[in-house]
Amino acid sequence: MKDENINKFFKEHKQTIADDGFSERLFAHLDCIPAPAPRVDRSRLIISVFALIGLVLFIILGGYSALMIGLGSMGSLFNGLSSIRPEVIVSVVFMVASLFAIGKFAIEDTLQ
Amino acid sequence: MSRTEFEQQVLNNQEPLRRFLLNLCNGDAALSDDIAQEAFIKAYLNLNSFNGLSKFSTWLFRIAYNCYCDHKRVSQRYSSVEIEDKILTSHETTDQKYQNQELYMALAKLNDKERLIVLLFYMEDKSLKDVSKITDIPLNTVKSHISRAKIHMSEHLKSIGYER
Repeated sequence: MKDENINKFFKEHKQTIADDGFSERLFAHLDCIPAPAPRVDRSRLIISVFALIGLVLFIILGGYSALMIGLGSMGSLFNGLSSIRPEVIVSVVFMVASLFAIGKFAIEDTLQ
Repeated sequence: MSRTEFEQQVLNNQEPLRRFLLNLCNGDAALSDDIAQEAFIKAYLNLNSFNGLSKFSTWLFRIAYNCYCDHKRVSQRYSSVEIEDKILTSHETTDQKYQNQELYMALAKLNDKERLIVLLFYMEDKSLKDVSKITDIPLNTVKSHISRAKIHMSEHLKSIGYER
């Protein structure tokens, strides 16, 4: 069956529904209900608190020196690039793919 | 959203929402208006949870569909007989009754899910994505319900002259 025929059928059978006081009755009903509380966005506060906690932990646990050591070892890793085994490459690729998948899921979840 | 903006949304959406519910309730105007009113009140009370990522009408239709499902569940639990015969409303003219009969006969060829999706897609002109959001059915399943609904309705529509 052609889509245009179905569209035509539903267009021709689309009812017009008059308001007939429906909106007025609804508004009168809403007058008896307490107004909903305004939305409070706490996300900025939560982000700031966790950023502060992270910074404090970074300083207390010697994050700066650990970061420097890590960067140094990365340098030595690139020096010996020819000695990298295939399983290391596979694990890195897998990790990057997983991070992309999680990121995509997180974005979709937020949009919903 | 302020009260004034909400009232404007009510005025814009009351007709499509009530028509959708009326057809879903097989023409029971009193029941569909009750569900529509309940949906608008729920929407008003939960305005804070509307984040603006979808259209207001999509969000409203989803609430209304949930109210309809709740009502159907309750009425199935307490009475299994009384619902079906309350078809057609008193303020309809004879022409309207005849037209609506044709529509309800076509819809009767469909199962619940197909009827729901067909009403949203063809009658209320919702996009496939919006239909999927309102019904909480995956997009591809919506598409397959539509193609199955077409097959189920085709015989009836042919018989009343819609296949040329």
